[in-house]
Amino acid sequence: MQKIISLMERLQLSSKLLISIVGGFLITLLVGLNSIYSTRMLSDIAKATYKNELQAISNIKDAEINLLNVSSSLRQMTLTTNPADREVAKKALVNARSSYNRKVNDIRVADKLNENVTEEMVKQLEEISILISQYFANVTTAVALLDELNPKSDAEAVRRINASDFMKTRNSAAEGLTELAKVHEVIAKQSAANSEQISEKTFHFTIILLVIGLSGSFGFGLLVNISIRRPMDNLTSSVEKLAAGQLDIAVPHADYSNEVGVMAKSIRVLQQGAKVLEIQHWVKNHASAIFAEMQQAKNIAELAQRFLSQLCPLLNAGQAALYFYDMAEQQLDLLASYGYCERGQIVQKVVPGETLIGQCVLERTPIILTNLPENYLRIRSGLGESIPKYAAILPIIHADSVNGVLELASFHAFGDRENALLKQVLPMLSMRMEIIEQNIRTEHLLEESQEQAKHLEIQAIRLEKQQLEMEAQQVGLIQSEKMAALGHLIAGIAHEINTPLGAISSSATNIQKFLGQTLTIMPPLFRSFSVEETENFVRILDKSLSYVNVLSAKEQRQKRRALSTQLANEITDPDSVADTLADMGIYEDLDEIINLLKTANGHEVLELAYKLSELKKGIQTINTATDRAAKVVFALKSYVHQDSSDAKLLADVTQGMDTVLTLYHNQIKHNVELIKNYAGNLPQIYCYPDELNQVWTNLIHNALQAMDNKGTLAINVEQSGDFIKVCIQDSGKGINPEDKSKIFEAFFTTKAAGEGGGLGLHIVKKIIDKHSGSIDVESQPGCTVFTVLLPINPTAGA
Amino acid sequence: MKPVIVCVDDEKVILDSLKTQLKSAFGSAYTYEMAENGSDALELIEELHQEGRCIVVIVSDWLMPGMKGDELLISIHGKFPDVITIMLSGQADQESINHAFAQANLYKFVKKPWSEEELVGDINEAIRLFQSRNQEKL
Repeated sequence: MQKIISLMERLQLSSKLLISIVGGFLITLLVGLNSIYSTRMLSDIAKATYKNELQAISNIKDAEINLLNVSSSLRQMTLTTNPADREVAKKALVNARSSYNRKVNDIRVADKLNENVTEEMVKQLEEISILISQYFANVTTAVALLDELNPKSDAEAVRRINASDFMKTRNSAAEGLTELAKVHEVIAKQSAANSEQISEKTFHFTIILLVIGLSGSFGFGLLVNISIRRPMDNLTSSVEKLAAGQLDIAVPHADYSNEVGVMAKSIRVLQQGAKVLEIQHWVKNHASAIFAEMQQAKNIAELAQRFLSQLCPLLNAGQAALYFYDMAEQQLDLLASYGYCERGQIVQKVVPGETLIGQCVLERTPIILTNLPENYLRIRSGLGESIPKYAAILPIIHADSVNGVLELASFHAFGDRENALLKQVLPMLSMRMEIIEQNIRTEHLLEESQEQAKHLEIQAIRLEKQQLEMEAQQVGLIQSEKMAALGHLIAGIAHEINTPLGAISSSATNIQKFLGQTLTIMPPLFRSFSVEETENFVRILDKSLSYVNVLSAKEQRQKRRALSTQLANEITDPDSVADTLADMGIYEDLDEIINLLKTANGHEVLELAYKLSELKKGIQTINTATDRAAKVVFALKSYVHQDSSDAKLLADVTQGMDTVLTLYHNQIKHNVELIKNYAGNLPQIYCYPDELNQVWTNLIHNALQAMDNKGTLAINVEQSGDFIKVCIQDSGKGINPEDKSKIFEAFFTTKAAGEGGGLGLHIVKKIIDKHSGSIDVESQPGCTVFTVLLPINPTAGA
Repeated sequence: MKPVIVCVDDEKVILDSLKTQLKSAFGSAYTYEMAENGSDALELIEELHQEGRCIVVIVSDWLMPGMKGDELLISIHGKFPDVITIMLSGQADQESINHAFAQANLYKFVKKPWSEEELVGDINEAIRLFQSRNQEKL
């Protein structure tokens, strides 16, 4: 039984269920099959009974009736004398006889097939047949007499019929038939009794099967229940034991391959985890106790003694020794020992490489001995003296150098727990050793440092001086950043100044040349002019001098060509004349010119007028260029200007902005669309105008750089409450979202080396802070806006 | 028909000065055409070519809105390799100048502000070079 249950326990839950279902199904099948079989048998018996016995009885009864009909028809013949009636009766008689013969024939055929019919019954039927044959012979004789139709023969017939012999044959045949029918009846009854017996048997069998099935199911169910309950109970009690802290119990059933096995394995995993935790807990507790003990030590020898006396009982180590490795002397000194009776027994000094302890210093790995030689040290205990079974020689390593060696000997090999504790406390020991060493060293140092303190005092004074210098530099930094920005501008500004200077220089040369050419020839030329020529000269010169050229080069070219075409047929070298006239701005009254050129001094007159107009043009050019250069110089001057006083001045924000824009004009004019939008009636504000200029310079410089000097630069200045709000918007590549928070930090730059030092926006922020204002930036690719708010009436104003 | 000297600069005062200087140096021997930017210059040169005019020298600024001087000279040199090209600029970077020397067969680079004497001398040499080349061809 126990075997079966343990076999069951190993089965999968699904297999157990399958077995139960299959068992129930088999019993049901058996009961069903039995019922079907019995029903079929009963039905067969009923059919056979009906076919054989009841059919036989019915045939016998029919034969009896036909026999009766024969005798009654014969009597009918005797009772009438009418030949017709007699004939009718005779016919009935013949019919009844042949019917009788048919029935008897049927009985014979059926008897042959019926296995219940005995030979006796066949014989009985034959005997009856003989009697009947006799009777029918008598009947035939009587009928023949009656057929003679005379009273005498009639009387003879009646006599024969009434003879006792005649009647006796018939009666004994009839009796025989009745008896035969009775025999069949008995057989039929027997069949019925048979059926009843079978059905009763079936009933009993079914009951037995059901009882077996039910008790089997119940028994199996019980078995399954036990096979599930028992391992569960075992596992539950294991878990309870584990929970109670008995971690070393064996968890059963883990070898099972079913659900129970899985559960048992899981519990084993938990058990392992709990064991590890317990070890950790043990290690932690003892490690901290050892650590606390070690902290009380004042020197290394005391430390070693305290360490060993704490550690050895925990490890069950009978003997232990701790050596300190003296790096300078290249030797190991015994610091403390545990379990040694006499100091003499133990080596006081070891050289690295000698003995296991010395070897451990060189190898820097633990040496574990399990089969100790006879001459190894002995452990003395209350039980006497014996050789330890296990020894461990462990290096104490701190920061990659060996501080010492610990030797431990025990009767038992160290388990996981002990090794874990060692792993935990050895670094602590080495650290503690190091700390104590350091403390001793520190004490030495302390004396030295007191001396150094005096030095430091001197240094502090020097530092203070440096601090002052730094502060001075901070101020200088702003100025130098300003100059750096200016440096970026210089190339553009040079062009801005060079262009007008070039124009001035060339115009001046031209003027000089023209004057040289004309001054000497003018008086004689004038003298040679007729009155008309003089008038023409004055008129042409007037026209030219009053002309202001607003045409583009292309328009001028087209007009000149038109002139050239008009003059083509009138004069020689129309191109040159047209060019001269175009330069002079004379496009009308050509007839007058043509007439002039036809006079003797015509060409000279025109040439002189041209040269004089060129003089005027040169002077105009010089004026325009001078203005332009002056504007740039003024902008530069106001940019670089440094107000020595710390006081704020009342100034226009837009004026400063325009100064900066002037300096950037050259970089802006080519590919940048500048949209300036200054609100009217902006109040002046108290500010440091130079420093604000530096803000605008930085912001505009960054904007232009962000869009590679191509795109749109929009500058809005408006009043917003108590503030002047300045927005500088560019269509450049934008600021990276992650850089956005950092752009105002010092030395943050996204520019390539040499392009910017990362101080620009930092200084901008400092300047705005100094104005109690604020600066903000919104940026996405294609649209970056720096918004500066400056208070109109700063409370911290001068 | 007179040969043509073309000047291109976006500063009107520069164009005026150039024309005055050229006219005073070469008088009526040449026609002087001025253009204010690259596309204007290309249009002008196309017109002159259709009229059958002979362009001898083209003097161009470098920094101009739109097309830069080196691009313009390269484009002109591509179509009319005989034309002598001179760049006149105060700002052109070395890379662009090298670019023009290499691809537009730049004859001279003159730095602004320029001296009249030097510029006229350069153009004179350029004209002589042009004439000698075209005689060789003939």
